[in-house]
Amino acid sequence: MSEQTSILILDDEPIVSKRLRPSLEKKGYEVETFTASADALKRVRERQFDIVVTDLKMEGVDGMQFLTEVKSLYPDTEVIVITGFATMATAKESFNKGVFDFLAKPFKLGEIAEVIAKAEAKIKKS
Amino acid sequence: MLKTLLYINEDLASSIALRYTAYLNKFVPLSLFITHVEEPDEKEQVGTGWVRHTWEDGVASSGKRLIDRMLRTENIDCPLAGRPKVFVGDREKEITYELRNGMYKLFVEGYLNTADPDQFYEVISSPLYTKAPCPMLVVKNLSISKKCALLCADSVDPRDLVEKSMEILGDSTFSFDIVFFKFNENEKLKTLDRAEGGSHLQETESLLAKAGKSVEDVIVLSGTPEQVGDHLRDYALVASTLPSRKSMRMYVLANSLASVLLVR
Amino acid sequence: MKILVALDAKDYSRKIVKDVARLAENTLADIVFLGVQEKTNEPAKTLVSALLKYQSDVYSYFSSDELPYAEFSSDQWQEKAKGDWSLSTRGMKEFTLRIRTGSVAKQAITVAKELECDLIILGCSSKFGCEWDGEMNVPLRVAEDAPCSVLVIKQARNANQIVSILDQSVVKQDSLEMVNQLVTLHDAGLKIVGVKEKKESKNDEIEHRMVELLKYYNDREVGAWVKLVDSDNVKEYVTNSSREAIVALWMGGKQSLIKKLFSRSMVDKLLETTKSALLILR
Repeated sequence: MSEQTSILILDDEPIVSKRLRPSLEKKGYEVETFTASADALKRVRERQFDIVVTDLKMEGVDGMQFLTEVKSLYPDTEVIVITGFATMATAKESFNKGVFDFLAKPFKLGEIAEVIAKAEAKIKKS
Repeated sequence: MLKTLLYINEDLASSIALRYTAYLNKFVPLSLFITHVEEPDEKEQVGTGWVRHTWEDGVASSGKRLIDRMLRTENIDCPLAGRPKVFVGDREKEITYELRNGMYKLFVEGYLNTADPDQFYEVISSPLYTKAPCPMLVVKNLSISKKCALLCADSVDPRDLVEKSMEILGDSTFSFDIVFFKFNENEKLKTLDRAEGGSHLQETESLLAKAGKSVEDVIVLSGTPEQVGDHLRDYALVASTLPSRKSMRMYVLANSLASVLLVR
Repeated sequence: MKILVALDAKDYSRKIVKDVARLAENTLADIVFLGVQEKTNEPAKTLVSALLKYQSDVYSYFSSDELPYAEFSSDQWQEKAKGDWSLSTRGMKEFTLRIRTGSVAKQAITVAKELECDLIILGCSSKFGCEWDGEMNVPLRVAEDAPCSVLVIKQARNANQIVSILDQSVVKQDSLEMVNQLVTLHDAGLKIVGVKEKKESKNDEIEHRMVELLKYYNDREVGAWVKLVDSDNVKEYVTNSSREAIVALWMGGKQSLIKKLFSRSMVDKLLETTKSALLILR
């Protein structure tokens, strides 16, 4: 793994990646963004990311399936769920699958940056 | 396969209708044809003979491009049974002619849902609807529902409603509710006892059973057309007979958030 | 998501706690409970005990292994500035109790700005103008200057429909997401009502926005329906809707038609007729 922390962002609403990407790149992260879960799935099968940020409700492969695949391929990858349709059940299921944190939309850039920083700290500590 | 003609224009109502039709196809296998009518202004119409023919070809090609654009934009998952049919002339006349000539079983068009019932009445009281040779489906909204409602009222002939609706929905995988409407100016929508639906409701239920369809729920609703129209939102479509006047049932159909299948 | 809840010791505040707990349970949001009191040198005991009671009510909504907030280790309030006390705890998510002095509306806006909150929630008395212990029009004044959306809860009850009123203003992503969370919380359908202007030229934009939203929800398998209403009839339509549904008003920019149509008195009327809640989106 390189020194730079790598992040994959998957959200079918382009505006989410559009907002997050520049802000995270400015903080020194290596960021790849996807709006289609099939493309993101293809990419994670090619390489590991330190952190994965994923939406849940999406067409095709939904976020829960995606994060399950990510965790089974790379148990060390920290997954952060972001969702516009949050329920206790999805939060519970996400945590059972080992996600690092669960953020309901809307959120401020500062909030997700803080969660990513914590996930990064956890990775570096281990 | 139900031979269906879908009317498309380059507007939002058509965009909803296209998507809705693709959804409908999952429940009722459709043999889908798309049509569009270019209605030139009188001023635009030129010449006679070869000149007019060439001009009509030009107008028709622009209509074909319009349909292509719509199909590309919506990217619908519903195969077409033939090439799109573009006509030049009066919209209602051309569609009526095509419906008769092509022996279609169903006509579908989009309608941007408004709170003004007169606009809806204007559509369904037009000769296109009153003289249509097949049931007409007015698409008002998209749906994620797997259920249809048969809307009855005292003014609805149960035989017409069930027989004609089943010509369209008989082979579908939709489940069915019967909704009986009774007008009342309550502050809240009320559900009444089934007996309040009277003999019309009983007959509708037994005709539907004879057609081999089990009814999931029978509901007698008492309220205003707005309240009942709102209540119907959870259906993929609401089937009823074509109202011939501005009755309370017409107002229910006008206020229905769900798409409306009109049979005669 | 960070939610600021403005509360006092009155019944209209007590009544909203259950809804706040449900939203917290669904969204695992950071929560700030804000109490506002008259100018004194220390937090008023009644307000402190009310906030602690509300906090404990929210905690009790979660099973112990699912509580995302940490227990409060002490009840030592920290004075952040003169007339500004805070008591905070952080588990996976943060829970803060805050007491400030002055006007409720002003303090709610100030704290929401300072903490970059995504939503302000407050209750509404059944008195005209939602009077809060002598302070008039609190929800409306908060909504007018808030940096985020405002949810005014009159009765904590389940609504089976959210009626979202839309004009030609741009629909902000944050507002859309807030509507989504309410739709999910109530397991409700969403009716998207477009306000038709007399000027035909502006209607294309509204219709376009409505249909885009309809497709957005359909893609996500969320029940949503569109309806166009003439601007002349929209007040009546919304007032009638507010009896049973939660009304969401997109009060966008300066040119917002809804803002023009829904004057203070009209919003007051909506708050009077609603039996559930009113969401004012920014």
